[in-house]
Amino acid sequence: MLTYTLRRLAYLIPTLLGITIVTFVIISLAPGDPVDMMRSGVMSSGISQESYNEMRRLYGLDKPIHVRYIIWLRRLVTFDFGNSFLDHRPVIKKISERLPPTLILNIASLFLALLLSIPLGLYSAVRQYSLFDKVGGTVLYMLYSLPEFWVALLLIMLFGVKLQVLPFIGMESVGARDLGFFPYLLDRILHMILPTICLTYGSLAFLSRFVRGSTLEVIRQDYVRTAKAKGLGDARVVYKHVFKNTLIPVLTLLGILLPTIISGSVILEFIFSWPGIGALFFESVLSRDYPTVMGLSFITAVMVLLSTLIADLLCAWSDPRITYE
Amino acid sequence: MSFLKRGFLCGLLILVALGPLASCGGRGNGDETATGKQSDSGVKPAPGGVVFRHLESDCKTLNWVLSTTIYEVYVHRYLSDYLLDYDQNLEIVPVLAEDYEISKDHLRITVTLKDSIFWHDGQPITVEDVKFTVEKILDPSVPAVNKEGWFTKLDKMEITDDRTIVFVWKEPYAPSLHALTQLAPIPKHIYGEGDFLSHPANRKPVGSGAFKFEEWQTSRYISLVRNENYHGEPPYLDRVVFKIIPDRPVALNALKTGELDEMRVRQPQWELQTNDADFLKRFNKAHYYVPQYNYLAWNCRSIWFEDKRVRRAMTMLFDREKINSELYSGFAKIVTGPFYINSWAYDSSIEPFPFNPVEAKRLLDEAGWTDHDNDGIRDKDDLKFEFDFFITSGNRIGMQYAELLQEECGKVGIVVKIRQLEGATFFDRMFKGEYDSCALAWRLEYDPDLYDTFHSSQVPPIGLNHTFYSNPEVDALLERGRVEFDKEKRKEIYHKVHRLIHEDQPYTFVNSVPDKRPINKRIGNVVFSPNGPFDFYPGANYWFVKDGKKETD
Repeated sequence: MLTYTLRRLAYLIPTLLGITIVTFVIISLAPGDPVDMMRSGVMSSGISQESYNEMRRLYGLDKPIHVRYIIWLRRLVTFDFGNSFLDHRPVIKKISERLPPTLILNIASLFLALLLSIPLGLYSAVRQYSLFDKVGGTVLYMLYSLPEFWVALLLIMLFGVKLQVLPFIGMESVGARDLGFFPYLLDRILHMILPTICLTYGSLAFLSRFVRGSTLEVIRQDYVRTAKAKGLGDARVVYKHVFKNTLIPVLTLLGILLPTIISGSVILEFIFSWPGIGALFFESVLSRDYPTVMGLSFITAVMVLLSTLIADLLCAWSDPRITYE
Repeated sequence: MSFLKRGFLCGLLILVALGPLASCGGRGNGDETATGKQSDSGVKPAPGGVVFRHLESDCKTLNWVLSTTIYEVYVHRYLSDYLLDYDQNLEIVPVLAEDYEISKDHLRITVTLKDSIFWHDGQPITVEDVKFTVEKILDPSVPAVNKEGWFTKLDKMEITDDRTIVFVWKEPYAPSLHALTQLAPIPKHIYGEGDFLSHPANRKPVGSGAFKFEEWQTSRYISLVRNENYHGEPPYLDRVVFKIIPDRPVALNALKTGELDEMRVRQPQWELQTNDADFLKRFNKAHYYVPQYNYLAWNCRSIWFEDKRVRRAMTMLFDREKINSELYSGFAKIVTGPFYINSWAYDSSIEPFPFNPVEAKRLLDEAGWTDHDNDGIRDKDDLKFEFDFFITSGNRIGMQYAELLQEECGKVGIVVKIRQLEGATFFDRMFKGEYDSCALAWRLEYDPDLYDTFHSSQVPPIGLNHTFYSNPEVDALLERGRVEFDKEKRKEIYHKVHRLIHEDQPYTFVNSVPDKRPINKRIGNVVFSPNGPFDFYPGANYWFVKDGKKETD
């Protein structure tokens, strides 16, 4: 197990290198560099060729692409992501400022999704083909097919404008910090309700159907029949024998879900004025802010690779049948 | 939803993609709300209250020298005062300056600062700060691309005493006074040390304006508080808070719930979502024409458009009235020349060429473009009249312009091939003059000098005369216009320029599209210049809140 883990960790390095090279090349090949972006969309009478060249030099864009990559890589070894081209602030600072809002929102949403979908899935499986199973499934699939930006706007219209019970702009009210701890906490929670709902409802269908599917598989196993034959009550069978085994595939699924925690949703962050990572990424790509784009891609890549590793390890740990020796 | 479209650079003449975007084909009943002063129905201004303004995108910096976007300008209008500025009637007035004097040879402008004016941290504002600011703008390692242009003709600055500075120009240059209206000093004692680009004060500015910086929560809000020691009359509001809301429909909802007091809306919102009785009871809907116009450019060096008769024919084939009623609900104003429609340089007596396909056909025949081989397409010297029309990709308005042109041209035997290019590539080609025709827009300055855009020496790759327009008479007038300091004489010069360019039609001048902005009626003292409620002195400095507090909490 330990050698396996170490080997997987060692694989991370070439994979990451590959990912960063590809990202670097793609973003550099996109038409227009940051200096062009400053004048593009615009042709201003003020920009002389001299200051154009000077600015390119300032951002290091006068060097060939491989040299720029090596410079970037060398900096990375010391965890220095460089400064943003856009506002000249350290990239790491920009990211760390935007990461908490995204984390809070996505963790809340993932938690809520699991909390709802596991019992839903379990119940649907146990009562397969019951009214609950059919209606529940249909409703969840309907939710799944509703575009989130549309639902978001409807919810805003209803709760934000008509009823005026829930805030819909950003993470907190202006000046809420000065109100004291509990009012501030309440303000933050209220601000989270609408975005969390929008972020969650779509994944409910997917997750609960997944749980239902894996439960159905488990339910047909011999050991479940044995348990029933022993005369155990339904609740006990489901809880003791089915539930635990159902969770194994869900753990694998977590490997896919964990990275989404930090990636953020561009559309929802945009609509709810949520100051998260998604908005930052979008903005940086559009303005060709190479250092920020690279910093974000690197961190996301690391997260994806680590979480798949963690998910694999969790599987081995929870399921004695799987071994990596 | 592109950040580029929203992050227009400000300052100097700027060529931008066609805009502002309107609805596609929306035909609404034009709103009749007049632009102008808001009646305050006798409510007396009282101190206190907060006004919530809208930013569609966060500021990148609050260092005035580095500022580039309209959003940064919105904030700086409160934070930083200019040396000179334009007042409500777009006349130049001193602000931080007490007085200014132009020497007889027009080479020296002597500016005296007001006595005892202070930065927000209490330090006095001196001419050293002014000099420092200009030096930073001209520093090649400082990306102040949108400000540099004003000072390239500056020879040197002489400081004669604490309050007096002389700007010495290399040559007489009529826009030099205008340049000083584009100069908001930054404090030398703050920015004098440390790296300029990543200076901590870029996010915690010390300014000179009616409001002081309070707090900046990235991507959330920027708040400013009243400057009790302001050199002018003290403002009324306790605070001005800019909320960053990128999504326009959401911002409109925020406006309706009172989370915002004003915002710029688009045509569909203006027509469809802001006309109910409740909205009109609570908001004044203002629209005003900013210094901007849309146009179609004809490359005068291309085989198709070298003849001005052909260019005129193109204008007559482009139905501007139809564009106006179908795309802008009649809100746009048809323009005939390259100046700001609200400025003294614009000659409003010039009539636009009407939509007239018959006359256009006659002009085309006269120019030799007739259908010699009877295939339905006009030709000349065995060359068919088929040209490329460029627009930026994804630009819906541009596409509608292009399709209308294509349709009308098709009827008279001209083939228009619509070409879409991604933004950066598009501008690169237009900048180099590698195109037949295209749709673009200019953002203008208050000063009418158009040397860079219409003088024949300014063709690509040097200047911005990207249609390769050349008329010796216009050249001579443009040269005179930049050295003529008498406004009446200058007016005469630019009116002539306007008429000549109109005759030559290197552009088909299309229209100027207004900014549309509902403002909550709880705010008093909302004053408009021809360019709206913000971009002049004192702008929105003296807004007050009628009930003394926020409408809803």
